[in-house]
Amino acid sequence: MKHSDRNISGQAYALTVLTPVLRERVNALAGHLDALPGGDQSPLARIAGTHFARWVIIDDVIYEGSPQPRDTLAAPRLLFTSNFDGPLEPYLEALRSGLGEQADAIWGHCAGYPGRAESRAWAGWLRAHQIDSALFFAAYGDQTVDQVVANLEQRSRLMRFALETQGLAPDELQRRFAAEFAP
Amino acid sequence: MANVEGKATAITVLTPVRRHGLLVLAVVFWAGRHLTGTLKKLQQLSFIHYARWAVIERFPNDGAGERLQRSYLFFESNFNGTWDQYIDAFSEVVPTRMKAIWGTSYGFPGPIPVGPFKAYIRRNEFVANHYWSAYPGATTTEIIAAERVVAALERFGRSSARLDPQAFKAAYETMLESVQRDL
Amino acid sequence: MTALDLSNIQGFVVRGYRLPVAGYLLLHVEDGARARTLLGDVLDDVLTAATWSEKPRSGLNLALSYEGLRALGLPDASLAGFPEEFREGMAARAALLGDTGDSAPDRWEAGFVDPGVHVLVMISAQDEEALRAHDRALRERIEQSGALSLVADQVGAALPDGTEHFGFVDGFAQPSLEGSDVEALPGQGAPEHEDGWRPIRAGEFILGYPDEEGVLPPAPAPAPLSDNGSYLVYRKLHQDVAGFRAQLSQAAQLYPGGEDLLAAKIVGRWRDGTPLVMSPGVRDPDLVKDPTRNNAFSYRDDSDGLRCPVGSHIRRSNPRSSLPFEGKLVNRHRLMRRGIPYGESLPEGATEDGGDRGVVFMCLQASIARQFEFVQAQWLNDGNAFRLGDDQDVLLGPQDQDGVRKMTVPGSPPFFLGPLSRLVTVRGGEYFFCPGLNGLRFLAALGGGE
Repeated sequence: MKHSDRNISGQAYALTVLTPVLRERVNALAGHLDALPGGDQSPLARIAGTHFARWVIIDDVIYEGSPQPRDTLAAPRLLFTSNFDGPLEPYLEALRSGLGEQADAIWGHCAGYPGRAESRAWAGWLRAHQIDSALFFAAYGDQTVDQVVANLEQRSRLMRFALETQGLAPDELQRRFAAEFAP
Repeated sequence: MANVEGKATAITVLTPVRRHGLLVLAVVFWAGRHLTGTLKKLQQLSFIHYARWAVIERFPNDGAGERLQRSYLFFESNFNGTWDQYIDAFSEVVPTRMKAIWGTSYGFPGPIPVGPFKAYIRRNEFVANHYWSAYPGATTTEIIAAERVVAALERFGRSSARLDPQAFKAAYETMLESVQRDL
Repeated sequence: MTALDLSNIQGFVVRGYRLPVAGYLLLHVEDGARARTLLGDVLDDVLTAATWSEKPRSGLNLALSYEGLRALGLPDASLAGFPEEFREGMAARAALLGDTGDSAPDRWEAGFVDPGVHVLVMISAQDEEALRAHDRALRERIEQSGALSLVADQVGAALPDGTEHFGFVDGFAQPSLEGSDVEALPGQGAPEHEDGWRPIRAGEFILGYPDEEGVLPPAPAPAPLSDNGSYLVYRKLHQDVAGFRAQLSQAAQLYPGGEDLLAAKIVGRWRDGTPLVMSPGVRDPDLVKDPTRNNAFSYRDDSDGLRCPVGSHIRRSNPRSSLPFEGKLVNRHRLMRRGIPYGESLPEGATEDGGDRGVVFMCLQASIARQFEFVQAQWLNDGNAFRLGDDQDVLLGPQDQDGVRKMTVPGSPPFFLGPLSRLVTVRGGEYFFCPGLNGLRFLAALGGGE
């Protein structure tokens, strides 16, 4: 297995990106990320195919005490991870176009960030900061976001239908089913 | 700061790997990729959407990457349920694997008893600044159940088209029965 | 195995007294020093778990909330050792517990939130007369002491036929406790091997003893304060009996098995207590009468819930061998249940009279978060752990989820009960610490140097 294939389970892809944050900008970046609206209003809602994603600021590595040697990061890091419908290249482009100004507002706090104007430079910069997974687990790696959402919706519909039509005469049940689940 | 989005919880952990830990991790993760045991247990635990492990030997930067005195082990999970429940299950159900993986990190107290294990994770975890889920109301088990329900519903839709009402109702009830543990 | 220090553990922690009436005084500390003196004075009246030579006519037990411990003058160093959920108190945990809408703390009966309950006094008695006598004497003593004020009181009494208000005989399943002298019955401990059972380790319920992990449960210092103590959850739960009967009879019109069976499917036992999983077709009075059999089941051979629904009340509350990994996901979430109905029963066929009736629910454990709160939030107010999606317990669930509010009764075909609405409403409650006698003595002696 190639190292890069370890990011893949079914059609799902695990992206891990660690970029160095300019030290004087850490608080501004944290403030910006913390203030991002959640749920439907999250900028990540605009990136089709994203199951779960997060931004996490890592100020420094943790020191567990002796005998661990004392390590200190030269720069804090911004971690971005996403579990999305692969492959990688179109997703990076979707991130660039979908996040728009938000991409600059976030990664603009990082050293060497090339901006989002140039598609290749953007994707190349993220890939240069990518960490490959050693083990990736996806409980339903064969399902895209759209499939997951549609299936959940259909399951709820059947539950509601089953509850509401309990005890109906056969012809009425058949009519209602056709109306509810017509292809 | 948000580690929770609807029913989903994010966990992000970074721990320092002991001097000779990398070799052990290489073996453990190789086994994880090639032997089905670990992933199967995770599947059976049934509350993890996506999880990944990665070994960070260099923290990416503008150049060849920043190498610290030790490598770092990265873990992220997207799960449903509570944080305590999650670590409890790791401790109760897969303690040997937890020991094989985190036992390579400095300061790891072992998976049992769970109190010190939880304290260790708390010390070494980072809170997400922003967390996104495409389906915050759904759990892993519901997503997997929904896939089966939709398959049964589609089969029924195809096979029931020309049935008379009596036979339709009987076939409908058989279909419901076949998915009753998924509704 | 460590033997329990029975003469230092409050009696009801180890065994249900099976005394038919109970009175509860919920008190607020007005003067810490006087309260300590009073505590010292009543210490000898507290019922312990030591074996009775003769069943007492009445007995006293005590528990304290976090604010109560503070008001008694417990130093910060000890207070800080209590777990977060206990320090916060039940009202602050409302969102996690599903205590929303009509169950929200701002709707609770007066006193629970403001001024708050510091001390819970429990009197158990053989009859009402004994209860009244004990209650009167105690109230006089409290009044004379000037130490405490009464913020609420409650009486409870077993219903004539041993049922709770919805009409089910209750109280079969209790975890058996390692090291106690109470006889362990099949089905009451932790499932072990094929169909075997072993007692649960005492540290799951009592501080100072090894728990299921083989370690001592977290406890506040010093040991004399916490050893032999247990955490007590107290909840006054109102039951909408007419609402339950209406939902049941309406749904039963569509349920081929009839109303009695549907009721049993909701609970997991027939009204007389016969376990559905053992006798899915009929009640079995002989089985109910036999304590070695009436709780001796595991669901191991009913994984799809065709006999006892996966979403039934007793299966949710204690899934036994239902969950994967040989009970590992169950054994640390057990509750020692204590409680008693309150209010008059609603006659069969009567319309809702607005009556104050329900159950004083109490349970004991070593960790309120891992035990009571987990069971309430994960097993009763949600279905995911059992592959039941958003479904909630028919009896206790707030039925506030977005999805379809139903219960699945597995069968051929399955039956769907719903849409469900709330049947049980929280009227008040608090988290208490129930110290051992050593702990009560420790508290009474605080400030001795003043």
